[in-house]
Amino acid sequence: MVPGACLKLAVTCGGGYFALMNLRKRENALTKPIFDPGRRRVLGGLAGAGWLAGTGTIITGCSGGHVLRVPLAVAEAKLFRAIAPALLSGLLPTNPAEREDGLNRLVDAISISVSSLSSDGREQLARLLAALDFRLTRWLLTDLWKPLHESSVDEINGFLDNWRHSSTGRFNFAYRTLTKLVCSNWYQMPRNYAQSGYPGPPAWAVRINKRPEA
Amino acid sequence: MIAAHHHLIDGTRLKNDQVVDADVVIVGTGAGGGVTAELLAKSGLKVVMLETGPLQMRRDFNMDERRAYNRLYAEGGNLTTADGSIAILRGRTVGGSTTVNWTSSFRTPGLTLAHWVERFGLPEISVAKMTPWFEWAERRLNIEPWAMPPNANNEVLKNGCEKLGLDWAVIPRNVKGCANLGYCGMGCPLEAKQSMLVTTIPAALEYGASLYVRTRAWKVAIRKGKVEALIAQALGEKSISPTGVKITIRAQHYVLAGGAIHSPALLMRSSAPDPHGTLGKRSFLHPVNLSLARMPGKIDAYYGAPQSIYSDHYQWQDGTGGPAGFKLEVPPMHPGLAAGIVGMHGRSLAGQMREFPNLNALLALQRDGFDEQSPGGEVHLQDDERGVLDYPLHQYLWEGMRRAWHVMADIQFAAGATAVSPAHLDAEFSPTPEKARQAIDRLSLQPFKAALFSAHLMGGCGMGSDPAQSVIGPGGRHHHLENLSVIDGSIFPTSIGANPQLSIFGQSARIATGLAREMRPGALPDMPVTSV
Repeated sequence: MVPGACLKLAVTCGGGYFALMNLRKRENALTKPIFDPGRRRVLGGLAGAGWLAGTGTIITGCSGGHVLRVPLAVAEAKLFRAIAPALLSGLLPTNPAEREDGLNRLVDAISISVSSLSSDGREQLARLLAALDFRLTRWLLTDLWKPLHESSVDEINGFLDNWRHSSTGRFNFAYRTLTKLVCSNWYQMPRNYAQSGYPGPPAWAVRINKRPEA
Repeated sequence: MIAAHHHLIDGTRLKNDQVVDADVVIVGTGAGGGVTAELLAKSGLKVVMLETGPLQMRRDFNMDERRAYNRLYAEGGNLTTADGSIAILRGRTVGGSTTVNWTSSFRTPGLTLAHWVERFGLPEISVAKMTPWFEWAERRLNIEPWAMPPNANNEVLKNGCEKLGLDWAVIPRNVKGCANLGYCGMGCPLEAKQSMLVTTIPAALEYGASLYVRTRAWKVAIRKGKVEALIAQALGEKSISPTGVKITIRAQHYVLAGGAIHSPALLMRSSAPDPHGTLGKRSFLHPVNLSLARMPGKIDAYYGAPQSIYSDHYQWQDGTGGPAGFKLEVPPMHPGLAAGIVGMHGRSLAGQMREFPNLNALLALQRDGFDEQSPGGEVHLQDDERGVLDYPLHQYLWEGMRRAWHVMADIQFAAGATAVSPAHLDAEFSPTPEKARQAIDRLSLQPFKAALFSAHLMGGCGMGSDPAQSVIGPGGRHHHLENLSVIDGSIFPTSIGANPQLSIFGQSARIATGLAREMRPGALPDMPVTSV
């Protein structure tokens, strides 16, 4: 199920494909595709160079309006859990219980980051995640037909590398967004400091402001 | 320091709409709002300050990177330009970016001021006229060249420049009793940094000013060329969503100090007169690109004064004209920031981060807005009426960035680097200067590929004598609104060519003193002479 680039380009540029990227409204979206080419920042640009030039939307297609809520929904958390082992190769604990704990903490940290974003930022991220969740758009973006949580680390690495080196800015942006959310949050956790050799802030300076109740 | 007896109101806690009367209302508590608040309150005026962010103080600053970004920065440190291509670090807390900046304090370069005098008709802000204001700010905020040795990260810049015969100098910093910790970007846990949070704002409160936090100034009501009221929204716990409570402030004078996105955006939302279409135009960022180096010894770029050495060698080679000039400095590196910059994932990232203690980074601030080929960006309102900054990158600046990558790699190798890589998605570490040179020449110059940053938002409400080319006059007054001034980084007609906080302090002191003397003749006798 790995289509050629030409076919993909044809599908992408054809412009007449579904716009189905709303995780929470997925069933509705499947039965009632939204296609509104006139809307700013939305699907219309996909038909031509507008999408390549980029207008601020990671991947277009939904009618907008879906803003990522926190804590993350199960489906969204599942996507981050699916890509984390590839983004953090060799960094997640091997012991299953510790690994589970690490992933839970990571998803919580991502939730907090998402909660600081403006509604516009959360909407864009929602679109990216929805695009990765919905089979057709996932295939267009990653070459993967099966869900990410069923894909191997190598397969996920493959599309991440493609995104990184793509000449299309949208893919580079999506790559930067995901790596920043996952990898920065991971390395920022005090329990993972050792993985970067970071000793943490000087203990005396931490102590000086410690609240009595802490 | 801000204390319990001060008049402090948390928007989140307000249950009912409020109407407040004041002599002056100031929107924003950063470098512009802070200085303005102190001087006006000291003059005996009743001042109300509004801040979108929360009040976070010394004891909240625990040097935890993740917590600091989430609580102290706009969008948790994830703010970007409209298309996402330039990351913007911007403080969103009491004290604005002065609470989280890296303390570099440069006077506006003489060439920049001369350019403004010449090109924008501003003889009021020549070097001679501005000097007393910078001197005042330097005394008030304890600004002096950093007296301790630079940390190893800054030393790479110094050593490399020395080996190559390039100019370098020591950066002046606004600190008092600094312990050389290195966590300025997360809020100073020792209150050593002389930010607005610990200097001008507590002083203004002591003179009787009020401070509303988690309160977003939204619009001004305008009638016949005058502002009649300012409408603000109380915000919820995270300082993002309005609670529905409205605060109306009626004042004699209105000061916008929300910075280069929010000041123009507020005027746009208010349908302020803009007959020449200048509002929100000519916004500047000092776009920053970076070069990473593996050093043979430990750099520990997370410790020590973040910025203490700079080089202007490539900044003014053709005066204000010619190819894009840039200032060279270093960023502090903490694990989250570093992991975001390197642009890698998986095993490459893990390998890179294992050598994190040996990692050095240099940055180049492109001086934008001086050449016609660098017109800057534009603020516009989104569908939800919030301001965003569109900043297209033109070839002129890209070429400056490529030159900067070359120069930074040369400096890093000269300082002993074993490998150097531009912060770019297609780049890899090159082990020799020749290989690095070839690799840099091959890099595609396009958004998203290069890791680009800005911590300096400027312009959008440009100052000038000609209303057809500017938004405010030399005295800070809006050309078409007699009782509204803009006093922040948005008034700069170009970028500065240096970290802008002292430029903002100096201009704010000048404009605010003029305003105070207008409203209270004879006020502030100890301040320098105001020429407008």
